[in-house]
Amino acid sequence: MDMDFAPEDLAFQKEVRAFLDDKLNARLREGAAGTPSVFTEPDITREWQAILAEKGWLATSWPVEDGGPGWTPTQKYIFEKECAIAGAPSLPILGLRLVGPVICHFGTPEQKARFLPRIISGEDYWCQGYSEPGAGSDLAAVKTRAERVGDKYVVNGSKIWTTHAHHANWIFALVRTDPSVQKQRGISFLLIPMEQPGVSVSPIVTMANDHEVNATFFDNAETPADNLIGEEGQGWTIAKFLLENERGGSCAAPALLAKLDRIERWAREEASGSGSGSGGTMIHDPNISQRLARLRLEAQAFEVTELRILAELAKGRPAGPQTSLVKLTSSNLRQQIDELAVDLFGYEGLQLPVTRPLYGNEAPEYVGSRAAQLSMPAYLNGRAYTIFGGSDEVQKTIIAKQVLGL
Amino acid sequence: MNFDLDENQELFKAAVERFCSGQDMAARRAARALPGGIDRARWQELAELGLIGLAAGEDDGGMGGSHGDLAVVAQALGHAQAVEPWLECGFLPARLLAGSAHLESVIAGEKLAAFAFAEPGRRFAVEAQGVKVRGGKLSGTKQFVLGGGAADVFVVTAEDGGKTALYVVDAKAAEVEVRPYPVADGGVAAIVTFHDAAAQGPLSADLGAVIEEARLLAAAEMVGIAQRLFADTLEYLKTREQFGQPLGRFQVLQHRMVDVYARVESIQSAVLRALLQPEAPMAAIKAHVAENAIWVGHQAVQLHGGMGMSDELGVGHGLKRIVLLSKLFGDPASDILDYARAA
Repeated sequence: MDMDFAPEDLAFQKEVRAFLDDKLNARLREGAAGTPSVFTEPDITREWQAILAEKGWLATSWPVEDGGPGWTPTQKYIFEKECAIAGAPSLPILGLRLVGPVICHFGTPEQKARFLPRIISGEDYWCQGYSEPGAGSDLAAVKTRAERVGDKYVVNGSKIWTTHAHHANWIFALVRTDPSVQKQRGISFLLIPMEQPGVSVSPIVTMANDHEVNATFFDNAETPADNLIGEEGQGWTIAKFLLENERGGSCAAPALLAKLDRIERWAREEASGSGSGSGGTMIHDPNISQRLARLRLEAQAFEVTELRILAELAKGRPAGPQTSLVKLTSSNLRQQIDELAVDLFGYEGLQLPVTRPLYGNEAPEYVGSRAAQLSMPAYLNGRAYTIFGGSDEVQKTIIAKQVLGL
Repeated sequence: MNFDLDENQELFKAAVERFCSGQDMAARRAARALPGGIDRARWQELAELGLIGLAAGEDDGGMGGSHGDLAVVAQALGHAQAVEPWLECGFLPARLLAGSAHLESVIAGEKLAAFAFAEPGRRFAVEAQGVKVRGGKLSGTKQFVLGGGAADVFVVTAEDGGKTALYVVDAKAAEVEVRPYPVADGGVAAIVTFHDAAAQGPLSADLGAVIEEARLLAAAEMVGIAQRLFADTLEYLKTREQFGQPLGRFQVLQHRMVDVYARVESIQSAVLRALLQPEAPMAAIKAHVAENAIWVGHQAVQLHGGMGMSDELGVGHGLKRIVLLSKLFGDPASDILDYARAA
């Protein structure tokens, strides 16, 4: 038993570090650090995406024949870990990590040729149409109707929590093509262009003042029948594939540990304010230091849990339902870490900027420090981690049924 | 033994409820979007109901409300999710300005006063250090001045011969620099820098006692918000259907709501204890209330799902106001540590 990377993986790690050192410019780093929402804005991600595309390191979860780099699970992990430690921006994962692999797996040669290159080039920006006002945790209850009329589908209904729909020119959606059969069986996976009169997007601002998600409405929207992925009624199977792919080999712990390192650095600088001229800092505060220690121990243990899953994947074994445990653990850890950051900054952690972005020349003035200014919106947006992508309650039900056999 | 509200308290509670009825999210947002974040016409209305004067002594032209009266108002404002900063710009100045010439217009709602107590780099310290008074002139910087963007006068803690004293400064004076910034509950705070500004004072109020009272009222407001979040979430679980049944039919959510209920009851009792036992440790009780109210807020967001994240709903607003109040005059962790050390 050991926890070490093989020599060839260590060599790869070195290569990744050198690349990140070279390519991650100050603007990209500031954009990544200055994003308190879950997704980074396109003005930052496009630049980073182009750099990675040029290197061939962009579509890391795609097969080689479709433009993937042909990495092993370990290489994928190392790349993500180094990106997290270096503070690289996140990527538009809706195209690259969600619909991309679906098209690779289920798409026709024509669909692959048409869509995949434009995901890599950034020409197409994707959003996801899954949840609906009446179908949240109960996703199979989707009602948005797609009717086959000649050589196209006509779509009516609405989707909610459509992340970055206001930036997207395509949406992949779960739609109901057959209302007469059992609910999972009547669902199809359809690609719909956003830029048409039948599609409208209305913003939903979060309690953190971020505009990241939307409601998207379809009113006789149209899409060519060729944009159906798989067959009619196969949507639920594809959705499950996508979810499993989303939760497959994960690399969440390094980013959490990196954030804890940053909080520790801030705690060493943040005045404790106790007594006159004591010069003490918050790193000596018993509450802050104990929480920091506890969270680090938990994140370090979680890192090993992820490595155990990685080791299975590296041996060619399936990831299995413990991926729900990863989602559950990382979401809760993340929320506790974000809460710690707010608490560290005292009154300064209570500022909540109204405008965005919080990087570059347009950023509003901060009180105390940029880190303090970012702490409250990050904490508030972070409450969504235990809600989206299958809430804590849904994850626990999956674990109870599939892992514990209850 | 009797925990019922008395006749006057019922009237205050009803007055707050009337004042806040019809204030939907759109009205709230409009008020918050005003420069300074305070709707002065509404503020005046609040004053005319006697709710600011309630905090001032009868000798000062106020109504001399008891702690119980004030807590009823704070809790009712919390429950109604009022945007008016009654605690910060109503209660605190009314108490701190006791005996001052400014009090009358503050009680009348004509003049808006904000309390400047926090200093950069000093965390929750109450003793003034960075802001000093010398020869009647005030200098130095305060931050987290709640309502500071709208204030006509500041009540300022200042170092005065090694002690902390209270002074009044005209907010519009040329020697006063006000930089407003938005805070978590949607309100506007300010960084205020005094450049040898003329200061009136010192005031005679007992700062330590007023802060203890403010902690009690912050706790009462948090209880009101937590009760509101509990009620709204309960209603949501009864009406929102998933998997062909109301969410409230799922046992895991039933048990969670029972936990929320138990904590809401606990913090109501804690505030009553603080009210009825004058020697009760106010900061520690506020800490207990805050920690539980934050948990209730988190559950309210979680159980509302995506909707709970939205600025459209009151849920997030409730959580944010709780978070802000939880740190007013000390956060739960530091207050509990102080309490443990004193025991």
